[in-house]
Amino acid sequence: MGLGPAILTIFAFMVIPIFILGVFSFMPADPYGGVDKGFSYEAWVQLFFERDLDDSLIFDPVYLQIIFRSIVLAVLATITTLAVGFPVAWYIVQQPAKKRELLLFLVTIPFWTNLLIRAYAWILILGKNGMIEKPLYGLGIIDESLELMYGNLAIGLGLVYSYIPLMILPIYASLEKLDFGLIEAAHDLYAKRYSVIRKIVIPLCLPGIIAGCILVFVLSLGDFISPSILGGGKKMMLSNLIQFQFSSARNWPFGGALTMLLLIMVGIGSFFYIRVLGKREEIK
Amino acid sequence: MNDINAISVKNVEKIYGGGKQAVTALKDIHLEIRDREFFTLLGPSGCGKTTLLRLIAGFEQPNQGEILLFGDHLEGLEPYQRPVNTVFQSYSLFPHMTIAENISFGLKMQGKMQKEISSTVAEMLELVKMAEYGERMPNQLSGGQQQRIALARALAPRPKVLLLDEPLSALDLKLRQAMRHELKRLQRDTGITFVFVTHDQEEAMSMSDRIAVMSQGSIQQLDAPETIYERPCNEFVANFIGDVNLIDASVSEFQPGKLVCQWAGSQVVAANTATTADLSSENRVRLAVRPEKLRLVTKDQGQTNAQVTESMYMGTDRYITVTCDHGENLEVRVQNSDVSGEVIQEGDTVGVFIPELSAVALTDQQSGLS
Amino acid sequence: MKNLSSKRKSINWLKIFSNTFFVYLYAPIAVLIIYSFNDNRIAQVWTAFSTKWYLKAFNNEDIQRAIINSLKVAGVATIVATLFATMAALVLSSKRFRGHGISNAIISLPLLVPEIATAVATLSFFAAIEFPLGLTSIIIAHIVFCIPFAFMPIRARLSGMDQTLQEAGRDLYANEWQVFWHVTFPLLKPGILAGAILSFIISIDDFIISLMVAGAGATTLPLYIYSMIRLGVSPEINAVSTVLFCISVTAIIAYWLVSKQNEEKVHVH
Repeated sequence: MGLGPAILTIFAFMVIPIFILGVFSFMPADPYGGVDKGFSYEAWVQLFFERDLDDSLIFDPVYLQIIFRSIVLAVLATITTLAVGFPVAWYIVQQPAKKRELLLFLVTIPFWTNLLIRAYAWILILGKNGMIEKPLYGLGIIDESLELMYGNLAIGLGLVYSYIPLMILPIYASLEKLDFGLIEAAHDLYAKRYSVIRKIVIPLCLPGIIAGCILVFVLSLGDFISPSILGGGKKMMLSNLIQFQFSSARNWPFGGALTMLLLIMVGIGSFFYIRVLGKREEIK
Repeated sequence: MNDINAISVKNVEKIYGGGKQAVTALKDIHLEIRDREFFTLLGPSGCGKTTLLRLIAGFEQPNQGEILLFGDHLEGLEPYQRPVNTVFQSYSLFPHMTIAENISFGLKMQGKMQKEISSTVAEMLELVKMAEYGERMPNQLSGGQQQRIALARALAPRPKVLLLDEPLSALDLKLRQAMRHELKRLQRDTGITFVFVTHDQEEAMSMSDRIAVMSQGSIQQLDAPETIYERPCNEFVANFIGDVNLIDASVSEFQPGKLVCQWAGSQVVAANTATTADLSSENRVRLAVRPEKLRLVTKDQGQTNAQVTESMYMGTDRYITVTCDHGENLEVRVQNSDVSGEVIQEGDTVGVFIPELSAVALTDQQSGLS
Repeated sequence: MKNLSSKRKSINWLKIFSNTFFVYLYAPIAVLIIYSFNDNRIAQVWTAFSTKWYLKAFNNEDIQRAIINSLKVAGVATIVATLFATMAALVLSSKRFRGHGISNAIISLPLLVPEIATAVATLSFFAAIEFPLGLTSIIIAHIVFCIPFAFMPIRARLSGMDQTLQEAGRDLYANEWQVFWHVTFPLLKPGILAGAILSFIISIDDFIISLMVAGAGATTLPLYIYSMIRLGVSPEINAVSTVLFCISVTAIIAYWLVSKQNEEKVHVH
């Protein structure tokens, strides 16, 4: 009985809506928004093909390119956050308790603040006449804009900036559980610093690393803010394409099909995430 | 009053889970706990002692059988409807209430008047010698102090029976020993029946009027501490309480309460509480002898000769291991009260003597309990 | 000796790297806050310290309305989501039953589904049942994704709670309701508070879902900021963003203090 309200709310306003969206993807689009009655797989066809004037299908990779760019950017963001996040987590875990708590809190704060604002703040830095360009103009090093904004670089930077706390936190969590006696034992057994990290630390906190990677990948893949603020809407990612279908393009079925595709990819990621978490429980 | 038992457990069975995973926690338990008795349920973890306590408290229901409290059926009564209180292993003091609020909780729930509550709380704090601590919070107290408050809280509503679930296990050794006296005193002063659960045989021996030794969901022996130690009825009890030598012998003659046996070619007269039917047909019997009952005598003066293989100095005692001529190893404990300076050395040959009635015939060689 | 010195050197390197990281993490926010106090109309040209953009923002009726809308949405969503989450956590922590796992999975579903998917799915749903878009639709959508955030700390608090405390209550003559009221609820309160704060933070910051399910006139603060950003950088955005940032940081510090207190109180021994 106590479970009812929570379960029913989520079921009614999340599970059923996703189902409806799936149904919408198999219906014809209504040019004024929404869907028309009937059955159509046009939306799914549109993922790969364009209809020519004479109704013949021509392979059109434009949407696949956007999907591919989303995946590539998400993978790059994941690799970068890992490369930066692991040393930071490793550093934090070695600090005395008080400082550790403070640093951890500092990592968490941005995570709980508005993504929009955080992305916007980067415009002040990367944009025309921003913090980076202005001194360069002043010193006469450049005489025209570096165009740092509105490209893949800016989007990637935004993704890394947005989701790096989610890489650091799980890695930190598994590093914290690490028995530091093992490291001493390895040193005792003639292992050098680098081999200790490679042979002891990384294998033992692998679940944390995997969990962090999946979280960052899944969230980056579905990110809307970085491409739309820092990409200026020019370089789309999957989320922007979806949002576009439900607003200006008024092609809900196609938007629905794209969302289903995103959900499938995220679902696969989540499946592995839960398995990793499950394994971690077992070890405990 | 005294002829009604404080608690009667009749034919109680408790099974956890169902189907293939069903685990029998208690099987066919019969038990009578007398009024004003300090009664102990003793056994290794998983023997069912805590389950039995929880059945009495009402946290769980038996699958079969019934439990009576001073002649009244407890079936269907919720824990809060039963006039018994529990001292929990982890104390379970409410962390958000002061000590006084903790102690008054049960009284408040019973709907007692404020005046009565305050006087009882004061009385209880006095009883556990913590009068000045009423306004403290539980996390400001040490483990031993929390233990006393847990006792005071459970005693405050004047329960008909107090249930104690391994209450001393979280304390360190010194404190644990001090609390034994304290518990005994509380029980005497309040006149309340205590049912005490423990896995610590010393605790059980030192405080209890009677002990029920449990194993694998059933009661192995129920007797006064002395009887349990001196006359264990089976191998499990003999092993679980104190150290014991188990030796195999053959029966040559039955006498009332006695059993004349042959061991190592000599005669041993053992105490016997069993009837002939309990003993195996081949007249083989297993005898239990406590290490301190065995005597080491001059060579050829005992039932058999043996060689000292190890001699360990332990302060008040010396633990000696001997290997008998026929190969059996025995543990012997010798008090260091001898001032002559004569010490048994490793390698010495000695005689082993089992005095009459110092060995007990066990009845369960075939039950597989060991 | 050599080993020791080389060790110290590489730790320093790690420290430099980590400190650089923290600068990277906070530099954009610092820049934003600093420029919000810039007197100059052109956001990136610093002239003098001024609070005029804050005054201007607060006198802007659209911003006022957006703030009020945000508070309304976050307030209602927080209360409802926390209530639902508390009820669910109490059931899910008491004992295992059939459907235990699936219930847990459903409650954490909003954490797994990407926001854009939730947004367009909710939009489609409201369109399908012809539910008018407005503040109510935003509130409903917010309740959904706030539930798991409220649920997590409450659930954690419950599972950290000594189950025998409830038994002790029952043993001391308290019936089920009295046990809840005198024992469980007072102990759960910090968890509920923490859950409510998280819900509030998540709701007040939400952008994408609000963007899709907001009708005309139901602009929340993040939506307003977004529409301003699309028009270009301005000192007014810096001011409003700083305000929103401060709300979140205040809430997260409150959450941190509450959960710290949580840890201390749970452990009696």
